[in-house]
Amino acid sequence: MVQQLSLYSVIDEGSFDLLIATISALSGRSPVLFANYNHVAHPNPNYAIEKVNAKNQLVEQTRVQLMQEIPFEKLQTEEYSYKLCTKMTGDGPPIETEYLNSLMRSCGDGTRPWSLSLWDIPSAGKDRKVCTQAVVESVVTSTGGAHSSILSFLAELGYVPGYQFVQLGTQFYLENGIVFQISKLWALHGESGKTSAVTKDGFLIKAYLNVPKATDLESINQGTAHLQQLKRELRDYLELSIPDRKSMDSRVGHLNDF
Amino acid sequence: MSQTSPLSEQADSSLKYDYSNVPAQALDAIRMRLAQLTHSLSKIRDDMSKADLPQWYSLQAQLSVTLTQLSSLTSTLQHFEDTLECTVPYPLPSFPTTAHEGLLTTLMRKKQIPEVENWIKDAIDHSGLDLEGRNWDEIESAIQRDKSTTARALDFINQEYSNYSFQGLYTAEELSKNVGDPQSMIYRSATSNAKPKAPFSVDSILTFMYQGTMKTEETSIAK
Repeated sequence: MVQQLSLYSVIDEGSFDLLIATISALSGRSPVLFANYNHVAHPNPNYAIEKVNAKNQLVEQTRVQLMQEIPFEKLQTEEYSYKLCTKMTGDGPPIETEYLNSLMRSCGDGTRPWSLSLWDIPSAGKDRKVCTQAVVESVVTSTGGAHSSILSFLAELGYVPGYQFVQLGTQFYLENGIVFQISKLWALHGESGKTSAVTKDGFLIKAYLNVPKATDLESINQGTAHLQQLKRELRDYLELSIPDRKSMDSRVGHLNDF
Repeated sequence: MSQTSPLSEQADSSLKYDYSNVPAQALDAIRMRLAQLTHSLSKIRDDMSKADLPQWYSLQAQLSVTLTQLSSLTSTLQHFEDTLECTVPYPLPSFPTTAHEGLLTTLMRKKQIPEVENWIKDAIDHSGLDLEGRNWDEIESAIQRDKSTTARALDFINQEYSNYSFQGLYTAEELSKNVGDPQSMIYRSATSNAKPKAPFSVDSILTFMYQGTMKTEETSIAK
């Protein structure tokens, strides 16, 4: 299972330019624009799923995350650079909501591939240096059936639509494989076309690194060291920290849920 | 063992020796400085042989500490030059010469070890001075020349240094022409409060991403 090592932080809008300049100067890399649409689906509550399996082991239901990148031609902007991020102060993303709402129902040859992923709750432990989270990810290139769409595909899997959001920002591909992401999030409120800013007046910072195997302790330790090094380098300017693991729990009906 | 007092006639081990003439103060001062210097030199060597180098600023700090210690050693040696030059060490009769012959030869050794001899020879060769000829005037003038070159280089560096502004947002040229916002001129990188503010918590955003709810508003976006 892929292990994602990560550290998080937040900044206000006024600090964006300085942060971009800082990371560019530190890494010698340039920022890359990215945008994606995310849909999180819940397990269908109508199915009576046993809480324990035949071996008396606990069965935990997890939300599933679908992600599709948004092509740049759909962005309502004149310039395709990180500078776009400084102009995204409104309640909605610079993307047509009709387009976003059509994504889940679109079918046929023109459909772009979806990334389907399941995220485990990050590992517990007091002395953790980074947030370690197991991820299972797969790519859905096409769906079959009479009324083919990603929605029907999810229904077949036993999932019902949940909530959706758009993530837009800029990222740096640092050395050692670390991705340094500065992004904004908007929640989409269904067919009404209403949107609201989740990261109002600020940006979410995520520095992460993926290790292909959980058993590859050497790579995990090395990745942890690289992230620690980045944290040390940015110390006194940006405090990269480990978030509360409960906030990254995608399990349904669990403890702090509902 | 190292003492300048004349040896007593009796070779009795219980005999009290007169240590009063041992230049203990000088030797101890030099010993301490040498210990410091060897410690920092071996630390630098260890750091340099590591797989990933330490940060440049810590290396530079170490180097400057080592240089300070080196100059302090040199000045101490200079200070006790006269005392040390007329000090002759010799073993006391009570010293177990047979058992510790190796130690004794090391301690009594006056000749430099081959490596040291080599670099001293190298340095002399490179200086291009003829020490054999004992032309002291020539050597003196060479040293003077060297000193004046150093002074000139130092002057040059100081002058170049003053040409630039190492703090604030403006160049020295801009500062001398009085361009720019005077408020920004007092900006100092070390004490700047350019730290980003946090308009929301990471946890609240992650809760939304993973569970569809905002901790702050407590309203479910999910149906």
